[in-house]
Order: sequence, then structure tokens, then C-alpha cells
Amino acid sequence: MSRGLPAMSIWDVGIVILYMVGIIGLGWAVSRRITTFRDYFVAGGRMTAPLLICTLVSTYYGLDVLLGSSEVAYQAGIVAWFAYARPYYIVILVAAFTIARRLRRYDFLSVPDIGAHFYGVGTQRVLAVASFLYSLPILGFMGLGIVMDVTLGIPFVWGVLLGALVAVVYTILGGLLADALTDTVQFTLMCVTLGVATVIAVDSAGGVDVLRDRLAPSFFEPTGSYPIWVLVVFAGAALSALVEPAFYQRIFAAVNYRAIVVALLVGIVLWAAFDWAVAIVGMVARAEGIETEARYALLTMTMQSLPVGAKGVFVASVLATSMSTVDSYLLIAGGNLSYDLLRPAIRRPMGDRALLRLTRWMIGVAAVVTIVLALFFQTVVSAWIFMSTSLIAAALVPIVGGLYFGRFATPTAGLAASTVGLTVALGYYVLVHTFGAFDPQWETQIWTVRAGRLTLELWQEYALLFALPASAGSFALGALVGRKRG
Amino acid sequence: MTDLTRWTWIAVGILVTVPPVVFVLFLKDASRVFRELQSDRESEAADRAGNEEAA
Repeated sequence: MSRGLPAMSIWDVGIVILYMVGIIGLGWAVSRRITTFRDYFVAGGRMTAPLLICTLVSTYYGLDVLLGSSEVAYQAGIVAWFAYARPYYIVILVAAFTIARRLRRYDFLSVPDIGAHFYGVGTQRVLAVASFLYSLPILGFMGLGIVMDVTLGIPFVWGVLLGALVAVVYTILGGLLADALTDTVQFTLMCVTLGVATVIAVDSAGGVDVLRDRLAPSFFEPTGSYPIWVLVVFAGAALSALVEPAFYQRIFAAVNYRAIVVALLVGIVLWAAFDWAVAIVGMVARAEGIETEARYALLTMTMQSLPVGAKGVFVASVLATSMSTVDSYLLIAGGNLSYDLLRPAIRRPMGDRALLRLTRWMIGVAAVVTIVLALFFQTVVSAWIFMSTSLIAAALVPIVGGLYFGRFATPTAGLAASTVGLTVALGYYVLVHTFGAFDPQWETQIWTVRAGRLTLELWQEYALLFALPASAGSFALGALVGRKRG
Repeated sequence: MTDLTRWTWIAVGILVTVPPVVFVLFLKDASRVFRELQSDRESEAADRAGNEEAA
């Protein structure tokens, strides 16, 4: 067994297999009731608050949060909750009471639909490309491979392929409804198991307060030891919640606006509890002196403390955490290809059944692209930062411009804002990787620029600080020179 | 009890109690959505059969 984790019993392995077979069965049961693209892609607009809570909470929380937040807490402490997670709750709260209400006035099915409505097909295509790239669940596929490797001993490549196969099959079969149903099982599993794991971990350390005696004081500082601009970028990254394709898809799928608000308010409470528990377990792992790679702190800590049977439930819940994200984003990436890019390009009417069939094929295509990228990248953290930055840079200004500044929303403004935002993000990324160097202390790419006495450290994470103003400036220029659509 | 301990127990309490409640509410709604999809499918099949008969 790799990474020093305790072996799993046959009972634990049986529980994991039962989980995988169960979710495929659920996808098959739903597929027999799906007849239209709308049923498939937004569950026919039938999603009530409980359905939305489950799918929102579990979709947003993948292995990047479970392993990533525990990694930050293991290295730096409670800053993982205050600086990294908390800005998201604030942005989501703002989105619930502003953008979600405004979006319900229209009959959109996807983020690029918004671009097409306000600006035309050019902006729709740029947003579709940005949304497709963002939605490829590379980290999710890699996470499945890592979890199967460290817990079941399945080699990484086979773990990626097996996990991808299960997620792809039930997503292709049942669309958003199968996604929501499996998300619910996954959501309950991951929350309850994490709650129990936290109690066991804290108990093994002798209580939460003991951490203060065993960890440095900076572990309890809300801002930790990060430079201020990194904290600003953490807060800026939370803006992705305003253009998140999965968030938008669930707004379009909701039965009414009230269901969205209830789901988001309950979701924020659950996300906050989840993040806090993950941070505490990461800190306990550090205090207990567990020798592991920081990102495996939570897995190692929990696998060492759980009894037979509970280990299987825990591994199933960790796989669930990843699969609930993978399935949702595969569905969106497939929809971006079929509904947003191919359907307008074909230039002849496409029947509902043909669109449904095409979307299922495109989910398969998106999965193949994701598998290739997941096996290609050595580290996905920089890829993920780039992808989320690209989406915010390309989509935030055109969407907010269209929804709230309609009289300035000319096709030129939309196309300029999305294209320039995307290009600046890409250009900045290329520059930092060409002229910068990897900094082992912060584990990121930094380009140090010297002009006279002035020294400027440009982190790759700062791309948004340049791309977003460039996108806003281009929108303003486009609004001045362009003409509104007739 | 310090703030750190208090918030940890509150978080654990939320994680082990809220999801099961949401799950029960979910089961009720999911069965209704299933029934609606089934009846949509049946009425579409009936419409298609009617159209074929008329043709």
C-alpha cells in the first residue's frame, strides 16, 4: 500500500464497489424517464430547494476543497477558513440576492446563452470556449486516481480510467437529474462521514484546545502568514461564483426563485461547517506530527483512526466528493460543445432528440479530453488557477454588463470584453511562465521584475488583477464605438 | 470552552444533523419529479400513437 496508509479489509472494498454499482443503477433508472433536452440538461426546471441544496453543496465541494483546504490548514492553520473559504460565502450571498433574481427573468439554459442574448453569436462562442475549458474536471479525475491509489492500491492511471468510466456512464444516462440524485447520496455521505471523522480526529489529539499548545501562534491568526496581495487574490477568486457554469445551470433548473435562495442560504451554512471541520482535521494532523505530503493530511489522519467498515464508508464518501463534482462539470462541458458551439454552427434546425443524443456523445468527448489532460499534467493547481481566471476574465464583465447595464451592451462591447479578458489572462500566464521561476516556499510561479530600485513580484495568481480591468476597459470602449443590436 | 472548540462542535453538529433532514425532504420531492417525468413520457407516447393513427 502506498503512502503508508493502513490496508482496507474485504468489507471496506465491498462497500466501495456497492457504492459504484449503486450510482450507475440510479443513472440507468433516470435515463428511462428522460425524453427531452430540457429534462436532461436542467431537469425540466423542476428542481426544488432540497434537490438544489444537495446538488449545489456537493458540486462545489470536490477534492480540491477536501484535500486543498486541509493542505492549507496543515501548512498554515485556520487561515484556510478565514481567507480562502469565507470570501466565497459573501460572494454567493450577493449572487443569491442579485444575479440569481435577475437571471430568472430570462429563459437561459447556459452561460453562453447570456452572451448570445445580449451580444450575439461571437460573444456566445468565446464564453462557450471559456466555460468548456473551465468545466473540464481535470482535478476531479486526478483526485479519483489519487484516492484509488492511496486507499485501494489501484495504480493512478487505472484509478483515473475506472473513476471516469463510472462518472461518465451515469452522467450520460441520466443528465442533471441523475447528477442531482447521486449528488444527494454523495452529499449526505460526505457531510456525515466528515463530521464523525472530525470527532474521532479531535478526540485522538486530546481535544481542540490542545492544538494551541502544540502549534505555532500563526496557525490561529485569521490572515496567517500570507502576503496581502495573495489574500486579495484569494478574495478575487471567489468572484468565480458570479460566473460559475454549475451555479448558473442550477439557477435555470430551479422550480422558482425562492427555492434558489433557500438552497443557497442552507448551502452557505453547510459549506462553512464543512470548511471549518476540514481545517481543524488538517491542523490536528499537523499537531499529531503525521508525516505525509500536506495534501494527504486529511486522508492519512482519518484512515489511521477509523475502524473496519467505517474505512469503506469514508473512501466511498471521498470518491463521492470527487464524483459529485466530476459529473456536474462533464454535463456542462458536453452541453457547451453540443448546445452552445455545434448547434449554432450547424445552421439548420436541430430536433430535440438529436440535440439530446449529440449532448450525450459530447459528454463522452469532454471525458476523453479530460482524461488526456489529467494524465498529462504533473500538477493541476496552476492549470486550475488559469482556468478559473480565464472564465472570470472572459465572462464576468459581459454578463454583469448585459444584466445590469443593458443600454451599453453592444455586440462590440461584449465581444471586446470577453476576448480581451481571455487574451490578457492567457498572455499574463505565458509571460510569468516564460520569464518567471518556480518558488519552492510558496509553491507557485513568480516573475520578479526590477525597474531601478523598484522590485515587483508578479505571482501567476495575479493574472486576474490585470485581466479583469482590461476586460472592463474594453467593454467601455466597445460601448462607445459599437451600436446596439436591432 | 474556547471559541475554537465551540465552533468545531457547532460545525460537527451541522454536518451530522442537517444533511439527513435535507435527505428526507429530498426523497419526497424526488419521487414527485420521477412521477412527473413518467407521466410526461406516457403522454408523449400517447400523442405519438394518436398522430400515427391519424396519419
